[in-house]
Amino acid sequence: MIRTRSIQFLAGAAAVPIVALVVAGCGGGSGGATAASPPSQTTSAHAAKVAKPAAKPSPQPATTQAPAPPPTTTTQAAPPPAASGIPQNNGGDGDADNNGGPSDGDGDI
Amino acid sequence: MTTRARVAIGVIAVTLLAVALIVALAGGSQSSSPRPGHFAWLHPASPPIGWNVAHTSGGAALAYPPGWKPIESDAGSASVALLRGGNRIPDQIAAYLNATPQQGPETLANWTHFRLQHNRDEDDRDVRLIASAQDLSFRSGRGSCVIDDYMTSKGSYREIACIVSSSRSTGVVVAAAPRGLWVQQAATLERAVSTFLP
Repeated sequence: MIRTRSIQFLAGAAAVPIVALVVAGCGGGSGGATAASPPSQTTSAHAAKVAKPAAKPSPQPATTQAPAPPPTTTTQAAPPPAASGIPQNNGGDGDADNNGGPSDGDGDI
Repeated sequence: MTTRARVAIGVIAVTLLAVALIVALAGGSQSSSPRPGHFAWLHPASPPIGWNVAHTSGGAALAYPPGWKPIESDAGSASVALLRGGNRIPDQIAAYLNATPQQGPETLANWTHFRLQHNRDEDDRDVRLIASAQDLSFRSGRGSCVIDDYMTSKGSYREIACIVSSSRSTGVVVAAAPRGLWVQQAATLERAVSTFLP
């Protein structure tokens, strides 16, 4: 009887870390699911892939400042990218990254 | 050895094994944390009150603080900058933000390699990766980011460049400043990136 109780007690004690292990395993699994989501390929992205923007057209219409909260928004009314590459090194549309300024986020065009 | 002793040894062995596995799993999940140290500042949030928002032609929203100015930018993109004294725009830029719709082969998966190579293709020199991360949380989706240094013909810059994908679209946000001003501008740039909507 005493032996049976002892075994039951010890088995119970062993169950605690095993349960903890299972829980930790589940947590680790979700945290590890950090694979980058596949990029959503929008129609415009596909189009841009085929047709590179033309010689970066005209300057962007200025974004107006609207200081009142909540932040107001203005729309850049620039035309969608057309075709051809963008000269770098002080060429192209003369924006900052064509003139030694910070690099913009263009898609290698 | 009695049965009781054997059971006790077995229980102790199982317990030690379980503890070792728990420690290993905890360590593993830490290393795959979706917001590693260099990107701990990334807290997706609405723009602070008083900030302005510029939009790309695709509808991406780029928030920027009062006092910053829109500057010339590629078609369909939006660029704003904090300007200082100087003769021309590149020399005047004290801090810079740009939003551009996904245009080419850039993806969340290839972003680190793509961005560094892109900067080299722009004839930037000494392009050096500081940190990169994938599967970061943004306001409307997930993103991949790099922090890197590079040198142009006019000076050296540090940038945070992220590609963010939402159910609606994919876009790129770039936040940069001259190396010498990075410490001063980093918090503002990081906040702007945290508010980005592609």
